[in-house]
Amino acid sequence: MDGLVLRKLGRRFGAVDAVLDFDLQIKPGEFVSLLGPSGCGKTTTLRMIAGFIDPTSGSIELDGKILSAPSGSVPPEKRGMSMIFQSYAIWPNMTVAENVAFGLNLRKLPADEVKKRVGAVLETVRMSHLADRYPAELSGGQQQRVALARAVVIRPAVLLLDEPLSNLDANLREEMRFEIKRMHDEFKITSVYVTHDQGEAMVTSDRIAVMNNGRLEQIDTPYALYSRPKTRFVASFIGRTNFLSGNRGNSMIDFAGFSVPLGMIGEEVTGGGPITVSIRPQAMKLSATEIAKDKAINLPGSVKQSSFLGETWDYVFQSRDGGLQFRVAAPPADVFPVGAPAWLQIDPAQIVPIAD
Amino acid sequence: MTSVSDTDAMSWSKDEPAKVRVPWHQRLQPANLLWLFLAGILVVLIIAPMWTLVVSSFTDAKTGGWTLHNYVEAYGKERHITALTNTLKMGAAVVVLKLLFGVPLAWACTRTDMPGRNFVRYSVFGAFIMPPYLAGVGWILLAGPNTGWINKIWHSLTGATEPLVNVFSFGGLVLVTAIGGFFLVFVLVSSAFEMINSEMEDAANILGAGPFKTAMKVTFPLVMPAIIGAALLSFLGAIALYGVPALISIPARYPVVVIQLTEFFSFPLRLEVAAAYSIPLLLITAALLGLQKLILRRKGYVAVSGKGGERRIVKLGRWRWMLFAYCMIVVSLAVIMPLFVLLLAAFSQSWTTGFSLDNFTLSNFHYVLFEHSSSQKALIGSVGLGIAAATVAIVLALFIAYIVQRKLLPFSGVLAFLAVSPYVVPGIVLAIGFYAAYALPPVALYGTYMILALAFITRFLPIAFTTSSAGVRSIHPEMEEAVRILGGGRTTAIRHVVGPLLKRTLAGGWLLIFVPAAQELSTAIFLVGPTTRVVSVVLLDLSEEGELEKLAALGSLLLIIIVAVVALGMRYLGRDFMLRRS
Amino acid sequence: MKHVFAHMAGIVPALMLAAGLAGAAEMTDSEKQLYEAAKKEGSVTWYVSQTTTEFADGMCNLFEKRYSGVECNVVRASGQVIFQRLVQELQAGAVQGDVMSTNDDGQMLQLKEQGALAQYAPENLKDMVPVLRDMADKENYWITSGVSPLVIAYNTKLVTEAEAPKNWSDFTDPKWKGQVAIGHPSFSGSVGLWTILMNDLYGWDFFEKLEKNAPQIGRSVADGHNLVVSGERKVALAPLPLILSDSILKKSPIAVVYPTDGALLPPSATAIMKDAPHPNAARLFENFLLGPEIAEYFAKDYRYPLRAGVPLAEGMRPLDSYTTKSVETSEGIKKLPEIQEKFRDTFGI
Repeated sequence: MDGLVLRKLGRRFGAVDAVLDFDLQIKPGEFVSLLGPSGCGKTTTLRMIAGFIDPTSGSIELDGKILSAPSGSVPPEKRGMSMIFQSYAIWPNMTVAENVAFGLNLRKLPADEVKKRVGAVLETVRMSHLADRYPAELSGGQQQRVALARAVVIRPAVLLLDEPLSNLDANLREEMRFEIKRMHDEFKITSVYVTHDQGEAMVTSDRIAVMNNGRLEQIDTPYALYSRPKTRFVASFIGRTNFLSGNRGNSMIDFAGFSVPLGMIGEEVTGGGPITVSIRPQAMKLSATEIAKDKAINLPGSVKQSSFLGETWDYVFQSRDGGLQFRVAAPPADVFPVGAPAWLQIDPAQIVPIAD
Repeated sequence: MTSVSDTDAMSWSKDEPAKVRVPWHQRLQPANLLWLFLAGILVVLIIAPMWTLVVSSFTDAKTGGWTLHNYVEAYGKERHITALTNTLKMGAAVVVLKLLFGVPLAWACTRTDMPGRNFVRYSVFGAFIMPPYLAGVGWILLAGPNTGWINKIWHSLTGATEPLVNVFSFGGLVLVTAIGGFFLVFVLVSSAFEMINSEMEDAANILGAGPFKTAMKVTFPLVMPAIIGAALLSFLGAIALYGVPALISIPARYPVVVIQLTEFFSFPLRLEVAAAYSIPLLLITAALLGLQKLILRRKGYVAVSGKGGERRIVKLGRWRWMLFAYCMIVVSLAVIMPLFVLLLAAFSQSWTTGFSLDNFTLSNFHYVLFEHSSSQKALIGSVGLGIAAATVAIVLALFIAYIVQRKLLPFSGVLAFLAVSPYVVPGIVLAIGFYAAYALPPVALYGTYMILALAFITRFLPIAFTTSSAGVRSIHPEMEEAVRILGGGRTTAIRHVVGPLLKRTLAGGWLLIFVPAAQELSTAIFLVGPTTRVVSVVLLDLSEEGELEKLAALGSLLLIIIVAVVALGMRYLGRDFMLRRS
Repeated sequence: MKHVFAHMAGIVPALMLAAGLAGAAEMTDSEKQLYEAAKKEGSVTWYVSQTTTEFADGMCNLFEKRYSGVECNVVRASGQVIFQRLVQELQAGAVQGDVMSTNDDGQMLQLKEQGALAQYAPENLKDMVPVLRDMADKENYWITSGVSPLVIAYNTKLVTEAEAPKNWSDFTDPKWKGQVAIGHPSFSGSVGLWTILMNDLYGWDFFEKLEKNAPQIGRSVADGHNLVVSGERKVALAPLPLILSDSILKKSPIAVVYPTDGALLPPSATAIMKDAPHPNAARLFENFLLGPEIAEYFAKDYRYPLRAGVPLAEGMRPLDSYTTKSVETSEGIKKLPEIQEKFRDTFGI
């Protein structure tokens, strides 16, 4: 099949599994992020895709051809991929233009073709005026753009990005985020992007693969990840959330102090017994009065803590029956002083059962 | 527990991963073969001679069988053991003196406002360029007990009959050896001083410590790792030196190991006994290196890293001139006096008659340049060997350092150890090992420039390796990964990125090898043959023929050539090479 | 016209000289035979530690001038080095040297016993200075190719002729305390012989007394000479040619005493290798060493010419005009190791 396929990919170092049982299929032209905390195995996975590390189990295929397997791998120089490194790795002994031209020269393209392509891509990253400068004379952001240009100009089958923005300051990061997305939209190169920053992943990716402890937790579009997290880890890693423990009965899920009919919850819930759900702070509302019972779940209680963050209120609400605590995000106009009684409204469609 | 299934059916992942067959020639890249080849070179250069040395020490010369007799002969005599203990004593004294010379000068030049710092720096560098044997001859002219100039002046000033100084003594031996090697102490300790953040000294100052107290209590302890390293290098260099003991040790009646080894190598040749005699020396140096590692590790010294922070100059006030005087004394002893005396001798018909216009002559230079075929051949030989040793050692070391730093082979740590191990072997012992392994048939390299070149390369490989290692370490591995992912192999990465980035470092290492290699005596003395010539050995021959003036002329010529090469190198590398951190 | 006559006048002496030389170039029959055979061989390789390279080059040049068509190649190194080279070539069965000249005739004895030398009695032996000829191997395996007597040297600025020592035993006189210089029998072959000689003459007592005079011991036999020239020591054991050439040519303040108990004559030896690649050229060369050209060459350098009847350099005393002593080769070899040991024990180095 087409695209980049990771098939039960695993890598073991000594007694530790850095990556285990990783299945991923990336369609041609798709932009996928590997997102997770430090040590989750995302960089190891990326380097296996690049060919710098061999897998100890599983395989990597590109357009049907096997690139990596425990028995042996195609070396990085023969994979037709390209990479942007965390340190940019721009060669200080060459000018910007020479850096960018390097990959083209290796492919033995004729000199005028090289010149044309280099000129074009430098134009795209808006670095044409600095083509003859040396890296020591460039700022971090400019070096990053050179790295981008150099990686893209050879029209790789796959573009790999290893936390490229982590060395930039906040403003530059935002700017470069959009730059990367723009490049992707223009060239449609299959891309794998490693980051620990969910904002970056959300902005740029078609899909995000969340990793934890070497395993794939969930892979989905950004919105699906947010609204329908499947595991506790994903739910808490992407955005904030409330976890509730309940018990599933025949037609209802019983929580402390209230119950929810199964039909109201968007997801199909199989199996009985104890269950954990995730409810986003934005999935709830505070109101001074009770509202329609059939549209939402109403819980009486009071506000325990409040913080104003400028664009939202961050409330901690405690239910009267059951003593459950909820974090609620409210628009600035919804002012509830601490201790004030209130009703919590939960949108049942946004109650997401998760696997623990 | 709820089982979760992805909306995308992942049925494809249940298939067995297909078997991959990567052809063997793709796995065994040309680069890998090259690395194996290099390991083979190391075996030839280091393991074979050392192994042969050890085996020889246990071999009976007549029967070829195994025996302990060589050790008995080597160490059975009290005199031989005395030579060993003498050598250790001398080594220790030399270390103390080199530290006394090098450390204050390093501090003065890097951390204080002493006047004439650049002059002192260049002079210290001059001590590095001056061949130790030549300095020894100069000192004999200066401090011979009856006619040395110093003593003559002393006599005319005070009328004393006893000489003020006698170069033919333990003190003379130690002094002349020390002035030849304290440059290394200076460089190592200077580097360390330049890394120190002034804030540490500020802390001491605020608490009331003056500049010297701060120096003693804060600054010097911080550079202790560098001092210890330099002390070890000094010791190893001192015990292995041949030239100075050849001049001074016998008249001073202070037998040392190198002289004893020469005896075993004379008539009749007792190679096996020489080998047996060398082994304990090897063990001692290995033990010292291990000790150094132990000391530094347990004290938990944090390698001073980074840019070193702000570095302010210590103001010395009226002590500036005292310090300068001290520096000038050291520099005079090490460079100015012997150099002056040598140049004088080179231009004299007979150096004993002193200054006078009719004693002035250019005939010594004429002789050495145009009439003495040995000198001509020797100049070419020494410079050629210097260039060959430096170039090959640097290139070899670069490849090895690359393998080790990038962990390209499973036993790369062993390669690193091998590359540095010749350090442990005194030059003269290395020569004996090479002689034992390669001089005789079937290899039969005796009397060729090849065996000299091989021995020199091995001798200087550790310097090349440490330089290259530091260089490769300073290059981020991602620089090369960037080359590889774009389609270039490792050799492309080395050619286009690693090599060019390391140009300056490698050139610096090259010079650091060329200078001593062109003057090398200890390793050459046993390996020259009837048709091979190096300047250091010709100098010895000239002294045996009583031709001190011609000796001085030849020595001066070699010095000029070395200085010229170094000057060229410094122009290429920038003025501050070797004297300041780049 | 005047020019032509002047020109011709210039040529005549040259012609006469050439005639004279032509006379000198006259060869004996056996010499001619050797020469023809040598020309076919083309060259001779000479391993030499007896002299400096320059001096040896000069000798080779003289050879080539007389025997044009036979190249002469000098391979020069110090005694032990050259000897080692030959030993290895013999071991490898690939001898490259044709003729060997050394200052250490003990080496020759070793080679002879190994069967490495060729027996040959050159024609010019008959014209040799007798005492020199008789120092060689009785069976003609090697000839004496030079002698560099060891004598006493003193500094003329610091010591008057009357004060100077008259013989070796004067070295032990306390008035020379701290002012004597000698060599070391482990590092110099001729000093080894001298040590044996002193031991034979005076017993080891000589050296124990000498030790009390704190002599300066040098590695090379030339060290003593240097020390006297510089005035660092007043008296020394030194090689005669060095003293003479220094004092006469360089006008250094050094003079000779021919010790009454005997100047040591350490002979230099030359031999032909049995497996020499150019045997005829080798014989031609060895014979040449004993000929008139070399004799004159030696004389100019303050060396004793090997040929009788050749005038000595100015200031040189004939060999039979003073007491000389020598040590027989095999005896030297036998006695040397023990002597070296005793020396080291006495002097601590």
